[in-house]
Amino acid sequence: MEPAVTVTGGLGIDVDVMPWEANYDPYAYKDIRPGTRPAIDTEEAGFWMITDRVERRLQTAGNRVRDPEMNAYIKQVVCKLAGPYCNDFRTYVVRVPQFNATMMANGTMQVWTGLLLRVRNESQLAAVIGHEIGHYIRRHGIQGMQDQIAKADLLTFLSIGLAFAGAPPVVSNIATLIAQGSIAAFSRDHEREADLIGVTLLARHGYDASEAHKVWDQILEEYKKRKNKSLGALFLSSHPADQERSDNLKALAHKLQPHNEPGDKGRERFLRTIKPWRKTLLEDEVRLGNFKTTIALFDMLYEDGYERAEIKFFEGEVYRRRAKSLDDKKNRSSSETENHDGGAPVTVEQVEEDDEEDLRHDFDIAMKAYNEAFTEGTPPPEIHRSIGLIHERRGEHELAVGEFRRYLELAPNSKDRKVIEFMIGDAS
Amino acid sequence: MKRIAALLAVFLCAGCTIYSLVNPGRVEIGNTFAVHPDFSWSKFEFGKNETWTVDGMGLQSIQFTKGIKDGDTLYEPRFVKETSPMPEFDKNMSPIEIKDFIIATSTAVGALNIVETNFQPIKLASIDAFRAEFSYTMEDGLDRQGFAIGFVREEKLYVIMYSGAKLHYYGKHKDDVERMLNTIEVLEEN
Repeated sequence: MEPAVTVTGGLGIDVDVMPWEANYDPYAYKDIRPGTRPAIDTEEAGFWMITDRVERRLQTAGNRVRDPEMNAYIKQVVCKLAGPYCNDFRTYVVRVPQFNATMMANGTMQVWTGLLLRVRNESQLAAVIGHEIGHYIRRHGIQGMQDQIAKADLLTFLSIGLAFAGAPPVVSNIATLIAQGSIAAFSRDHEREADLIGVTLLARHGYDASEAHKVWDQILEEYKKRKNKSLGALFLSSHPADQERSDNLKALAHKLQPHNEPGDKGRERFLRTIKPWRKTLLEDEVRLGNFKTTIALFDMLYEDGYERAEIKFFEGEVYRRRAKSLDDKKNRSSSETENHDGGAPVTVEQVEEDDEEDLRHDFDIAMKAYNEAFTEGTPPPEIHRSIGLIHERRGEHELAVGEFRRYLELAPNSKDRKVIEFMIGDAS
Repeated sequence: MKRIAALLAVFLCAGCTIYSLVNPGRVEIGNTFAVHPDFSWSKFEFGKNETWTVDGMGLQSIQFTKGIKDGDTLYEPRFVKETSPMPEFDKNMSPIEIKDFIIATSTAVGALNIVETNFQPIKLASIDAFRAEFSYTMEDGLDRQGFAIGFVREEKLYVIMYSGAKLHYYGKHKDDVERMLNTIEVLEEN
């Protein structure tokens, strides 16, 4: 049986022609033509001016990734999908270790490095970029703003009318809730529409459309591990993720590429581009200190199979830097304490869930991960420094010295050489 | 009326930082350090940190952390950006781990693209310490440069951190700061 599929028929979409039919044109929407800006005397032009100002700040942002190869690669993916709209987009890669991509009304797109760490191939990257392109060519930004203004106006008018009519405040509160629900529903429609355009663009340009739903599955799996759901998952705050959404994307992919002829995943191209950045992205993720989420992500990246030795090393780094002892873990069971996933108090149930995982000292778990890194391949030289630091903390100075020496052999020009030599006792 | 006046006072104070003047000569910082600045600085104290600047905190500053205990954070946890928890100091940390702790703390309060440029053991007033040099940027895109000197004494971490805008302001007083640190006194624990 064919999976069910939902197609939203928004303004300008002719639902008589389905995306999987040959005469469907994903660029044929009437909303905004390639190479155009709204007329200066329109409300939309004002909205664009605001986004122009945001873009100017982005151009000089301290965390903008300026690597020419990375930018050329992303631009090439954007242009492949955007077709006639290619020159309407300026894409900025921004070094933020969170899963996110955004599109502003004027065609300014941001791709955060946390997204680049999480997607597994070019098809998955293209699925997110295609989704954002969908927002632009359907003018979702301005539509959303106009919808919010209209509903706020209506609500104000309604509240005054209700007050004059002597209605109790609860009626006005209900009207507010209805208006908020209506805005959210409007936004969800936009998301569905952007999903539809994104996955269609994937299929039309030879990518594997079935990778689109996998992005959501991966993010949902990571998100479920978070204790404090309000933090960090910025993309999810504006892009509600649920099973229905994933199922719909899966069904659309099946319609678009029905004969089990998956397109190009583009995994090699993606990994080749990301390789020089990968260690930095993993380090940024570890520095976040979001223990549970990071471990969940690393588990998934390990399963993915790319550079497993490196993943195991960074998994060890997460535990080594947390450095919780068995006593710490037990004490957390008996009283509420600070949650390292974001600051909210941890409940006893959550601690028990932690402790079921592993009651050993974090250093023991880190050492296990480091050992696994060696069996998986060649981990970064820093692994010897890390093992040495654990030995040092355990008072095993001779073992620490051996590891530090090995580190300096493998990384003779390391920035911390003098400190390591000092710790060894070799300082002249 | 009283309520309005109180509210107004809160709003007015929210925008002000209370600075005081540091005069040239011998200056004690808490009862932790004593230094000899050659000229006047503006001083701002908050928690365990005392921060001095000449041209403004956003342009260059030197911060003295007057000893934090095991389990404490370098800054108040409420200054953390929403994505990270504030790291806690562990009295058993090695210099490398303390340097990582400072970097993680700086990340948590919004420093971006931190790159270490040098890291070495030093003597600070005959105490074994380390010095880490680094560059970084803030959200506004301004490139900054700095160095941190840290040491542990009586299980407490002491940090002195000088940083400033790479363009002009870091260099403007770097030599003055170096000179000041060459004659620093680490006072006996209170």
